[in-house]
Parts: sequence; C-alpha cells; structure tokens
Amino acid sequence: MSELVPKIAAQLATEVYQVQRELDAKIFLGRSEFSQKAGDATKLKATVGFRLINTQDGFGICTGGGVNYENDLFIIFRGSTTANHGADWASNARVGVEYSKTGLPVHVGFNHIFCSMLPSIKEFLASQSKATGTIHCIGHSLGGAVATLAADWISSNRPNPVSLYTFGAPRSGLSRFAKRLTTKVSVHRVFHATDPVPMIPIFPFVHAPLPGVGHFVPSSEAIVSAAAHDIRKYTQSVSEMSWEKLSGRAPLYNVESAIEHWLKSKIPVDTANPKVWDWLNAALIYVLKKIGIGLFATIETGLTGVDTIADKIAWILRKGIDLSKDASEWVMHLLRKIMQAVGMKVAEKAADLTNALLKSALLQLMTKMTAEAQRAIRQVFRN
Amino acid sequence: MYMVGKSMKKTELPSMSNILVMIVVFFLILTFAMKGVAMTMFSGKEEELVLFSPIEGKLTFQGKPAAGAKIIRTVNWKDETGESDTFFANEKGEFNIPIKSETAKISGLTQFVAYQTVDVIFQGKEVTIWRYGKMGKKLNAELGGKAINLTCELTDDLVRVEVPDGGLGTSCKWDFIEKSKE
Repeated sequence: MSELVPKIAAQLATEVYQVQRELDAKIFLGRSEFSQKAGDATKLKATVGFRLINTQDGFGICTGGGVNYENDLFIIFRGSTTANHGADWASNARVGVEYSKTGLPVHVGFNHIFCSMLPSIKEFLASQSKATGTIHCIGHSLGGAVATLAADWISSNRPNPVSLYTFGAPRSGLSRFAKRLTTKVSVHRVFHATDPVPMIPIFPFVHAPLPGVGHFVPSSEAIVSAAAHDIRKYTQSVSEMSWEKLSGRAPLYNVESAIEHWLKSKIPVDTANPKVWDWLNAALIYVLKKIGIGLFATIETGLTGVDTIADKIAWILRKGIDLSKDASEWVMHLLRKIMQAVGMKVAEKAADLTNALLKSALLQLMTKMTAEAQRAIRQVFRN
Repeated sequence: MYMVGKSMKKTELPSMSNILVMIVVFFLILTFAMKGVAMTMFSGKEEELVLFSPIEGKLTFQGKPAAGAKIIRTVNWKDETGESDTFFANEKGEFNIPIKSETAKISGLTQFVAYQTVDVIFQGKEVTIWRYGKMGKKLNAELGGKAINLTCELTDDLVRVEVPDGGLGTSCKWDFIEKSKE
C-alpha cells in the first residue's frame, strides 16, 4: 500500500512511545500492519525482523510491513518521554546548522540524533534488500524531526518510494533541504494551530513540504496548550480524516498583507500567545526581504562564525534603517515588537535606534530567552 | 487480600559576506531563544498523575487458585528504573492492588508515559502478566475509563490486546473488553 491513512500514521506515532524495552516492541509489533510469522499475530514471540534503535538521544523501531503492506518498511521514531526528557531535549540546545549526510543544511541537534541512529537504520535496510515497497518514516515532536532527516537520507540511498508522516514536529532544515525533500518524498506534516513546537526553530529554518503548508488542524485552545502538542490529541484530531480533508486553509501569517497588518498593529506583544512567535518569524523574513532581496536569497551561505554578534547585528539593522524610508519603517515596526517581547521601553522613532540601543535590545533578547530555556529545563519534574 | 506494601526503589564595517554570516547567526540565536520561550510556555502546571490505577483480580495456576502468589507491581515514568511494590494473593488467589499516583509538574515538551509491569512469582517461577505504557494521566485510563478487574491464568501466554491508547501486553482476561486477536 503506497500511503498510510492519517489515523494509522498517528496511531503508530503514538504507540512507539509505549516501547521501552524489547517486550514492548513485540507488543507494539503485534499490530496487523507489521510482519508476523504466518497467521500468528497474537503470539508475541512470532514477531520477526524488527530492529530496536536506542541511542543516548534517539529511539526508534524499524520493521517490515504485514497485511496490505507486504513489501513496505516502517521506520518509526519517538519524541521525548517523561522517562528520558533530559537526554532528548538537551540535544536540542545545540541549535545551529550543519550539512546533512546528503549535503543539505539541517539543524545540528536533530542531525546528531539522526546520525547516532543511522548505523542501525543502514543495517536494517541492508537486511531488507528485497523489500521494494514504500518506506514509511513516522514520528511525533522530536521524533518527527528525526523522521524527516531519515526520509531525506533514505530517499537518497534507496530506490523505494518514501513517505513521511510527522505530527507536531519542529523545523529540521533550511529551505534547500525542505525543497529537495519535497521533490523526493511524499510529505504529510500535521500540526495543530496552537502547538508551539512546529513554530520552532524560527527562520531560517523552514518546514517541508516547501512550497506547501502541510496539514493544518485548527485547535480548540485559544492559546498555547501542552494538550495541543500531545500525540494523543493529534490522534484524536485526525482519526476520522483523510489527507485531502486535512489539507485545509493556510494560517493567516503566511499572507504578506497580514504580516504588514501585524507589524503595524498597536496590539501589545503577548508572549503567552504562541502565535506571536509565528508572526515574529514571518515578520523577520518579511523585513529581511524588505531590506534587500539579494541578501535574503543568499542567506544560506556562510553559516559559521560567532563573534560580537550583537554589535554586528545592531550595525546591520541600523544599515537597514539608513537604507530607505520604507525599509526603515519596517525595521522600526519589527524592533518595536522585539522590544515589547523582551519588556524594553519601546523606541519612539528610528533616530532613537542607535547602535548601542539595538545592541542592548538584542543582548536582552538573547540573555533573557536563553535563561528562560535553561530554567524551563531545570524545573521539569520539580514537585 | 494481603498487602505487604513494601516499597523497593530500583530504582568595523564588516564585509558583505560577514553581514550575511551575522544575519544567520542572529537568527540562530533567536531560534534558541524562541525555544526557551516555547519551553517556558510548556513548563506545565502541577497535576495528579495516576501512574497505575487500582487492580483487582484473581490468579490461577492450571485452573487452581494461585494461593500466596507473590505479585510485584513496577512502574517507571520519570526515570528508566522506577519503583516496585510487593503484594500477595490470598488463599483464593485473589488480590487487590491500590492506586499508585504522584502529584507533579511536567513539561508539555515531553510525552507522559508510565511504563507498567506486573510480575507474579508462584512455585518458584516468575511470569509477567501485564505490561503497558500508560499515556493517559487519569484514573483507569488503561482500559478507557473502566476499572481493572482481571482473571489471570499463569500458564497463559502474554498477548497483545487493543486498548484505546495502543497495545497492552497481558495474559489476563476481563469482562468489558475483548481480546483483539483471539
């Protein structure tokens, strides 16, 4: 079968969380989608040909397909659990860009996790050389990011069709990565409107499919909610849906006129509202294009070097202000939003935005938010 | 029902190329910062987490009550090992295991999973009669809201049973849910 329906893909992304050891894998692989010894699906010992991948930061299961999926392969990744939270999300602190095994710019942390699992994936695929069907890569949250990198690697190393199904996954690469993935892999990206995880990391990271917006599922929650990221919630949201029904209207922040409206609006930045970060992400891209489309088009080159960042960025932003009245206004709008987000007194006019003030705003942004990230990590599980 | 209740912890001006580099670096830093905000938004609130709902049941071995069978309930959710508690079946093979819960604050970035195991030691042999990853936080989420009341024949194989959140491995039977593949 060439594609999984949403319900099955979500169930698999859910159940992989229930696997901690080999016995659990056998229980999970008792599902009819997976290969069993002939006619004996209930006997857990009948489970054959699977591979459990359990590295320090990554977890996944590889197995062959069963009824209706006889020549298919499944590679299913798990996100962080309460039992191993430290390992998984600590890796995410390594935000940066490096080149994937297929030569494309991707997220350092996610790529390291994927690379730690790659030897096992290679061994599994080598053991399944006769399988000619679709290779299904599935995952939720961090597992979705890793599944995305896996789908890219597999599509470059196996002739099989590759399908990718992610739920609430963060962005895992830059635009060259996402565009190439979209041409080679059937991408099903499902995300709730109020789930912040798909909103991070912000630009220049982008989602696949590109072009495309994925499968946008409206949320019942008005503001961010942990419930919107829960894989069980995703399973409920898609259980009665087809991929066609899930291809709904794109979020408003994808529309330039809406971004302009947001930047110009006097509404205070409410950092408790997760949509603020998607708006800010879209606004950054928009303003960068306003400063210079040439700069924007080459933004993926030269991705190393960190030195007096705030000084240099302050200079660039000031340059944008001096470039033209139009660019200046948009930089002003953007800086007002950033300053509000960090709780600074908001600049009244462009002349107020000296290099020193810009530098201060940037440093505050970096310092405050980094500290919050660390605090959030530390407070997990403290009663 | 006899409960020992003993707990065992196992438990200058820059060149254009430099400008480009710095733009990217800025966004990367901001990216990290955004993650921080997201994590803060996700830090959650304190709530009761039912790690293992109460279990009533009866154990048999070759059809006869497994009198005095030692029952070890283990649950882990915030580390890899967890905690175990020991109970004993009465002369009729009946047992009653109380709820295990904790009040805690958990991050929405991590998926709650309480890995549950029930092992029974009878006549020198140890068998696993229950293995499940409980993802719902509420009481009796294991069986979709129904209380757990089991009949377990210790010589039966552990099989997969379909439950609302996935697959449960058990050798036990109960009234209100049918084994999926029997």
